[in-house]
Amino acid sequence: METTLRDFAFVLAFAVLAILFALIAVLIPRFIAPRTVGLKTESIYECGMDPFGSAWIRYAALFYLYALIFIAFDVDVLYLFPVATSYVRGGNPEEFIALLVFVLLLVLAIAYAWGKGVFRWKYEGR
Amino acid sequence: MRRWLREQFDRYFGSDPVRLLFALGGLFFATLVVLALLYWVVGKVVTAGLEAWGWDLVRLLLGLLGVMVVVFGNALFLVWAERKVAGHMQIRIGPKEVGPYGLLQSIADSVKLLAKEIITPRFVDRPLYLLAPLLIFVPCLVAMVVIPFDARLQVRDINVGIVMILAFSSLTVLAIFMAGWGSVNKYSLIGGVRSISQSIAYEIPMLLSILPVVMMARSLSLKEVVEAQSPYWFVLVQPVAFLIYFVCAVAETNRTPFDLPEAESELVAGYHTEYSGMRFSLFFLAEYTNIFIVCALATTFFLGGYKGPVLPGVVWFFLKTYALIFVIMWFRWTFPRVRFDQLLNFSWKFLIPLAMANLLVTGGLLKL
Amino acid sequence: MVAEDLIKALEGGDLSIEEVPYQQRGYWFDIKAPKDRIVEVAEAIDERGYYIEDVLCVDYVDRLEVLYHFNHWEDPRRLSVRVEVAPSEPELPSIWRVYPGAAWHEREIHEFFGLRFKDHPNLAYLFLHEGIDFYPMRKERVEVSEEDRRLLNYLPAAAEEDTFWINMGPQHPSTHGVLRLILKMRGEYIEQAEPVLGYMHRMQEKMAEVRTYQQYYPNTARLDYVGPLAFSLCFVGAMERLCELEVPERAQYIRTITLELNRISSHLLWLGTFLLDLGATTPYFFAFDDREQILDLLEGLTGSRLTFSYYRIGGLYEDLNDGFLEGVKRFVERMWKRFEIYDDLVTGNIIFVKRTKDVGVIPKEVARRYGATGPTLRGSGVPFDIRQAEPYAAYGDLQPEVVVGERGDSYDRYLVRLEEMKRSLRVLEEALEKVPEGPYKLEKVPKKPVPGDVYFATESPRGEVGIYIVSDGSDKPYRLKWRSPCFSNLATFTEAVKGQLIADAVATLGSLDLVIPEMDR
Repeated sequence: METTLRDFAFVLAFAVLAILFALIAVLIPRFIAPRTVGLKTESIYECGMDPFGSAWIRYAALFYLYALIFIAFDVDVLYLFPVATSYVRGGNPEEFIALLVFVLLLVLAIAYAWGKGVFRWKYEGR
Repeated sequence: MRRWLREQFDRYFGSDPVRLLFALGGLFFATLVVLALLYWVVGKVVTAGLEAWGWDLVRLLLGLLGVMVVVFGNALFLVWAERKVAGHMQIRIGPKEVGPYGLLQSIADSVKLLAKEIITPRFVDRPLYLLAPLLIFVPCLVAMVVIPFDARLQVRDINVGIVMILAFSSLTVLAIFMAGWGSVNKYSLIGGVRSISQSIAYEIPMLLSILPVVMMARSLSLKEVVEAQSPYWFVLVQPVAFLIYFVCAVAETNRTPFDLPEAESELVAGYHTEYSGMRFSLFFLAEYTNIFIVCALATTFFLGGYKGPVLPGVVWFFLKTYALIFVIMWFRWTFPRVRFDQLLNFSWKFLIPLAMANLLVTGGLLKL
Repeated sequence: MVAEDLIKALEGGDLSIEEVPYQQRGYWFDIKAPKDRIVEVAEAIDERGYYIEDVLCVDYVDRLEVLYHFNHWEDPRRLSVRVEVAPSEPELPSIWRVYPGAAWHEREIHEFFGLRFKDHPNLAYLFLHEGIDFYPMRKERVEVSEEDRRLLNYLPAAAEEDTFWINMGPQHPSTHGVLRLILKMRGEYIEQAEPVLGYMHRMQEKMAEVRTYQQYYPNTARLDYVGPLAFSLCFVGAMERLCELEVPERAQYIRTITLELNRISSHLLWLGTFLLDLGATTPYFFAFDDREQILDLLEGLTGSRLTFSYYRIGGLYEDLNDGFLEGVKRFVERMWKRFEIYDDLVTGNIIFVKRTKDVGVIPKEVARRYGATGPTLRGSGVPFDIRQAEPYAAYGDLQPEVVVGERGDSYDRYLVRLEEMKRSLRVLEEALEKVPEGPYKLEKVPKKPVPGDVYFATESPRGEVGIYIVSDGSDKPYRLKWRSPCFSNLATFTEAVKGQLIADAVATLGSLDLVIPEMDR
């Protein structure tokens, strides 16, 4: 318990340092960098033209499908890490069978998504 | 700010030499008092820390210092090396003016970036936009905690090091998407969306290619993974996993041919279109640090880490890492960019099934 | 023959067809059609497989004359269809339904001459912008009417709120300078692309009307700065045709050599930038290294590296300098070896092939209706080349073989251009052997051409460059119109890009080899 907490303290210290460092790096130019204000200095860049409408708009629904299968996958793959650490060399064939079943289930998920056409990119015009 | 300081100064001291003298004296004493206070506080904290933590605190402080040196040294070196490598691949010379062989070029560049104007567009989502460059730096430094540079040169050997690195590396995606979404720019948004789907697509094969390594080393601690690689490196028994890992590493760091989130010819600059000056260079710095990290991990997982004859371990470690980084640069200056659907489907249709098969084969062979 | 068949079908009624001497006029048939029959004429022409070259307008003060130029791939005899319009009633039926490529030409005529086209889908500004309140190309000042102003300022993107419209350009890394594309997106796919031109518009054609022929000549090199010689030669050739000059053999050969060198250098620049668009940075430097050799050679000859003004009406500015021919020979030898590098680096690269194969397919039919020419057309599998169809300079003797693609995708266009460089090298090799001795220019060249009109076409690295000059016998052109190859090629882009990914659009745009100033004139 003690060591785990200490591990976290290390991680925390480094994370804080990272943010501190980035903060300092962003703050320094405030004092030495020039400031100019022109008519278009603070406008959004869209190749030099005024943008049409907001950028916050529903974009390609296809990506949501990818995100969904990712969520299914990522969590499941993480389960495999404890399995991998306690995976013994030789003997205990049921361990392998468990692994096999688990991975095959994942393969099934991919096959399902594939068959459903998630990975097919095709323009569906109006 | 500067003007305000000057105004205040003039207001209180003006040009009267006596007043100026008094002011300086006062300032001097004030500084002394503050320093003494600081010394006392820091001393208390350090002694208290040392009592509770022992050498760990020293390790932590030295580690922080060392990691910063590595991060900066690496970024400065890589910027220079990248340009030099690119130059020689493109029948040019690359930087040569500043310092011998242009070695100081990247220092000059960073000073320039420091002095560049920072522009915040008017309609951005301020919290997201401002936080993104700060956040992108966290996973870079945190990953450094557990990387074993040598048998004893490791800030902290955390027993779930691998999982920790992978978990934190997802923060990069978050930061990139914050940048893309917060910029309220269509190019940034597309870059952000692409970045997420790319990172998640390549995270799974990456995990799956590390799993066999974990299986063979039977540990999640990076140091033990390295120690498990004797007498042979894992790349010899896991060549497929190594290749999958390496491809994913290139994709995770957004390098050509997988640099779609920042694809210049399509998206101008992708998610960091709206960032300028130092904020932009933080993304840049993070990118170079990430390259170092993924290559260091590849070295650790597959190339025997710091193990090697004759030379000290740390030299071996850096040699292997930079050799891998060179390969990534080589990719960048040779290949065109892939298309987005090709990129995603390459992972889902090819890399993931392959990595799974590799995992099963490893599992089966280990049981024999 | 196709042309005779067409004439037979069209003849009669209020339509007059005249066969004109090609050697003096540059076209074969002069068809005068009444304005209400123009769509019908266009349909008849379309049926016989003619492609549209150009639509232009000439203001004769008492009448406006709209000219349509058509040409045929197999029977390359140019048709000119004239329609007269009264300035009091400037309206004409549009032929965009028959030839969609005409739509842009008609837009151009509308904003420059104030000629309205009935049934036209979009008469918005193409080159000009708001704030110009008269029609610039009219000989007399004619104010823009309120109705036209409304038409001209129509912007489809502003009308629709809920769609993802994105500006690509004018300041975008892959639009090569200053082209603006307004893209209507559906996710990563492009639903519609609306190019906006004119960011490099300099009123070249109006400039020509206020300068003498000699004064205007250097401008021709500033249209297409990547392959300026083809444009220069087009102007010079038109003048020679108008004045009926016989250019010395030596000058013709030197013209051919410089033209082919220029073609190679232009293709090299395209090669570099195209791959840059695809994200490969290295080939760019190799291509520019080779291009540098050509520029050095041409600099020695012409004195400039970009906007060569080397040709003169009736010959050349100067004879060859010492060592030029040897230099070209050395370059040809060097260049042959360089193709291996390009093949290694690009042609066989799996990523490159996957990015370009079946991307941006331009079918023959689309190319014809939009008037695409040059490597873009040949990539679609049509063996049409002005150098063969209407030989100019010394191409009569040195026929280059025509390279064709199969599918008309970006990869084919790449292969065609690469192969064209090799064919150009062969032409160079042959020309170097054959350069005759003799004078390099005519002693006496008239300053004023005779009244009349003339068309002249050359094959620039990007396609067919045409020039149409109306001379009134003075020392300034009455009307000068450029037929820009990129203009028509870009029009096919709007068709090819529908339903494509944005990355493919970039690849397609790159494969078309656009040079914006040439398009914008």
